[in-house]
Amino acid sequence: MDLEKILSSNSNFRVIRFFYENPQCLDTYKNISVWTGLKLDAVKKALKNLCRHNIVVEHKNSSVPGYSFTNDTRIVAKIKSWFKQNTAQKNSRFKNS
Amino acid sequence: MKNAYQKELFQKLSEQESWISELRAFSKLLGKDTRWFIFPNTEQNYFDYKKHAIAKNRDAARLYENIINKILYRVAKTRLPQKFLCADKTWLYLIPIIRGHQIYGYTCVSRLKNEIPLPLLELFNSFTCTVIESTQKELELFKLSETIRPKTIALSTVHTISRIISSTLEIDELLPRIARLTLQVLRAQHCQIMLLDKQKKTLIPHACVNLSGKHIKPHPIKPGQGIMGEVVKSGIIVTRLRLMCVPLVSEENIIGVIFISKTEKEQPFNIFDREILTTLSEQAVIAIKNAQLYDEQEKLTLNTIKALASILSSGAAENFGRTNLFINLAMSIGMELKLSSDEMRVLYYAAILHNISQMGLPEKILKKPTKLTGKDYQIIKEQHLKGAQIIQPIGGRLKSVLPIIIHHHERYDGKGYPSGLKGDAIPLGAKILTVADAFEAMLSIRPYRRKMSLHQAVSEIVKYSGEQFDPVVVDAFVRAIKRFKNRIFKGEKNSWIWKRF
Repeated sequence: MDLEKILSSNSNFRVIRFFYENPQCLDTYKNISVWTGLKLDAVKKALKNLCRHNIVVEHKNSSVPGYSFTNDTRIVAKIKSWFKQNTAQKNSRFKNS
Repeated sequence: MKNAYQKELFQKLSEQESWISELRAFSKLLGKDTRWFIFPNTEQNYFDYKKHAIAKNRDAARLYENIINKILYRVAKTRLPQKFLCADKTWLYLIPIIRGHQIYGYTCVSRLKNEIPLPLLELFNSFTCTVIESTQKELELFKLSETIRPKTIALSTVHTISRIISSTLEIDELLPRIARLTLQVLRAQHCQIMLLDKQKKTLIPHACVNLSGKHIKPHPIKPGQGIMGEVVKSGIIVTRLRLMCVPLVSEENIIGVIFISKTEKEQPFNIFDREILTTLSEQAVIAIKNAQLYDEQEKLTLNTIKALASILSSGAAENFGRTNLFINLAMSIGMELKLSSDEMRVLYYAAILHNISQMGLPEKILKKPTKLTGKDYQIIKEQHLKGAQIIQPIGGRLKSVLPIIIHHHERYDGKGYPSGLKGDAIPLGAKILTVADAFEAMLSIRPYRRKMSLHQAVSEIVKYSGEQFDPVVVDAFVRAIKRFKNRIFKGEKNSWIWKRF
């Protein structure tokens, strides 16, 4: 999994950042759009992409699926390490949001 | 105003675009060498640049620390700006930032070649107060958002989980789903859900999800035994650093427990996690009770149908054995056609009751040793609808069963009865029963012919595909015979079918 490449996309970054800061969250794409400030289409696309990389888990069993952060400890550790190393980049992106 | 809040406010103020623009504008008026810095109100009117200066202005603050301390007391007492002529013949001003009756902090302007005119000073003060007010509001909004946001996210999470849990009424699907969702939300590694069997007075494991890779085989537990047993006995939540166990309580009765645990490497559970687990357990209880009620209702419906079928049928043991073949085959074809659980259930009820249309037929026709005449068929067709309509007033689940029973004598080519329906107009369940009925009849001994072999019967069905039978159903029938042959013909109770769907 090329995390740098995945996080180079603003939508992917903001969704991952949201789940990294709120790992217990399990929510629909509409609410994730509200929490991240992204448009619905951008969120849908990002979630689909991140599900493919197993960073986000889709819970399909309802009229509207829910999404949550992965429980895979290796992926979580990788993301945690990335955010710790890239604090300056994180802050500038925080300002933009 | 508390010190930490003051410092935070001034930090935010120093980063505000409007404040920076204001200083630039005033610098143009006062001279390009002008230096500015701000600091919050200090204890006992003593300025220590290390403690009080905002981080990015610390160097400038260090240079003027002594001078500031010479005039700070007077500024604080008079609440008026004070000026000081420095050794390098430049002016330094210390201006209090006042809102209402409170001094929030000070602005220090240095390296001025000339004194600041009073009107300009007043203008500066007024603008500063406006900026501080908006900064304060922004900070308060930010703090409110910081407090509310995690709680809103948690509430939204609980709501989404509730929707996911409620989307199934199958208890065998529901409990593992609850376990997985619990693990997801509480970032745990292991979750077990046990329900109390009142008769055996034992906790029976119904779901066990483990993400750590270790294989854990849960076993029944007596109340009082271990943590889960204790929770069931006492009804009290048990919380340790990395494990939690909550009772599932329905109308003051404990119906089971949810147990979760984390590995040593993970963060311990906190009070917030406990609240979430308690809320989840309450949602789980509602879903479990709904699923159990649904299960009871289904069993009641099935038993009613079976009782009805047994009252209305001839009840001969021989017939009952063939009925099992008929039902097993119909369900196997349904599985091959990938019918939904609901459709399978309706098909099953229709298969049990399909002979209801024979109700009221004279015995001389039912047991006629020779082939039926045109007149006999006329009587059968008339009686068919009357027989099916016996169950019509019952309604409920049987509403969807009725069309299957009524139309299972239709032909794919439209030459059947009672309505002469053709092709896709015939309900799929009816088309399945048509094939199963014909196949069963071919394997049975009739007064006017010998029974066929399995191979002959299958060939006969395939021969009439597209005429009497739907080709799609015939293909499914052939696959079902190959895959489930032993089970179809064993004549056992068809519980294996229920397990499959």
